[in-house]
Amino acid sequence: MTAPLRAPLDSAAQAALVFAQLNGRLAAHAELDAELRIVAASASFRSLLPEPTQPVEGQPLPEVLDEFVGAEARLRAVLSGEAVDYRLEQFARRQPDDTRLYFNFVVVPLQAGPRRAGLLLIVEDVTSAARHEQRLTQDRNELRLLRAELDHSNAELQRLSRYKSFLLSMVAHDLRSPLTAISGYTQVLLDEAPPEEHAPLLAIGAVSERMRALIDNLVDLDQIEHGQIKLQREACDLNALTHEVLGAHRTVFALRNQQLELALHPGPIALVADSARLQQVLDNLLNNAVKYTPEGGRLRVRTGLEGGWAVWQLTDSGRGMTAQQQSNLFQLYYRTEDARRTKIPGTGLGLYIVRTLVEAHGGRVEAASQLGVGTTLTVYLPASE
Amino acid sequence: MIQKKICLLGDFSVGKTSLVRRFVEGRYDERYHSTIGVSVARRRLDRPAGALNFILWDLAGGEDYAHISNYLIGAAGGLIVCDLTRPETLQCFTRCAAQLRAVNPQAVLVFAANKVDLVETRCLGEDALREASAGGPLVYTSAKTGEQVARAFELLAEQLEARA
Repeated sequence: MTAPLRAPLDSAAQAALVFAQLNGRLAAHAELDAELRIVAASASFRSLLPEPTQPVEGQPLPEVLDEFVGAEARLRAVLSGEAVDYRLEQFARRQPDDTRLYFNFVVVPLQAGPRRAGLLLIVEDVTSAARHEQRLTQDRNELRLLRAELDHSNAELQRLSRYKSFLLSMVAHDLRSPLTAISGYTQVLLDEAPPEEHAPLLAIGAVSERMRALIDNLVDLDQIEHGQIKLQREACDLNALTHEVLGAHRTVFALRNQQLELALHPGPIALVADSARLQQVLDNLLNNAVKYTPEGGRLRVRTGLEGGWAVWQLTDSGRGMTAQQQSNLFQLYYRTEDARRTKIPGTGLGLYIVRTLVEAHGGRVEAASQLGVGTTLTVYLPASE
Repeated sequence: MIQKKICLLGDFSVGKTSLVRRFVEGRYDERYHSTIGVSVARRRLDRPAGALNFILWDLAGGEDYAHISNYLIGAAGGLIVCDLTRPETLQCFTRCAAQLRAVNPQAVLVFAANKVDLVETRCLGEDALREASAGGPLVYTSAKTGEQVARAFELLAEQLEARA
């Protein structure tokens, strides 16, 4: 590979050449005169040229290798001793099969006694290491592009989410106003109507209440998604809350001819909790049980204190669930196939919100069910000491 | 023939290699291949003032630009490229222009806002581009369709001829 050069190499140039050879990187070399013309080159030097048959001897290096266009001043600096050497690293040469070879170009001075008589160009083939680096760079850059895409998508999703929240709050407000009027006028009519006319009015009231609960759930879901649920904790009694919530549901129990059994703890059950949110929890659980318990069915509400936990338990005589359905019960938007098929109204929001609110209080909610027998949902909340 | 070294500068994946390929070979490759180091290509321009050889240095993009001063030596001009779909790539306009001018104060510059064909995902507006290019020649290019690619290099040639 190595053609004899015109002149014997001095020690520095010889060292550079031998170093490249020892590394197994030496691809080619050429000797330049003080005018930067090639005076001798290795046979392999021609493989670097666009046309390997072109004559190189006597040609200025920048006219032979494009990599040295504009580098004349720097080459002269090496020649004059202003610079130790001139290095250009990782130059890719695309091959006909679209693969790339990579070369380093190193230019060192040639001494002739005390003066620098010329330059030695050493071409190192660094393809192996460069290809490895290229693969790493490629992976890194592709990951960065993916990350940028994800960031962009996230920003867009956040924008859409904010827009959805805005629309939801507007719609919720607009829907609540007529519902308030409906509920109010229904109550006025109930107060004035004879008992035999109460049934349709009670039905209107119950449906209005269900719609209000649905709107509340949608707004709450949005707040949960944005981490905006804030609890207003205060001292309260779980039994008192139970009475309040059951009072609001008695009409529905009556309409569906469902029997309610109460087994409340004999004394107050003290909690420090957001009473409005806890009422919402009990409300959602009762709404759920009423829907899935057939007309004429039974509901049982029990409260108690168990090892530092305030317990609120609701058992129904509904259709019950399989083990798989139980495991998905508190997932967002989850509804059983059975519920969909029998067109029991629902959104799959209620129990998800129950779990979120209970957990926000430091508690937990558990389900136990037997298909065809019924379901028991138990809420555990930290009791006050 | 007069030969001029032109450096292509900009962040990774803005399309520098594709611009060179489109200009030199008249083709485009959808696959993304990260450049490491430098890839040198040549294209002859037949100008009214005479033929000109552009030696195009396609430099690896990325934030690690500190070491490239050696590559910029002897450059007569620079084509500085950003990606219209990635706003962060615009920072290179200012940084690369300063780097090239630090090594070659006389270097001429053209700014290329690339991927103009990606209309729906474009993020960079005219004002931001004008500000970042600081009044320098700005061209909206697409290596994919070839739009304005030749024009970008012609603008470099025109500036070089004006200085000759």
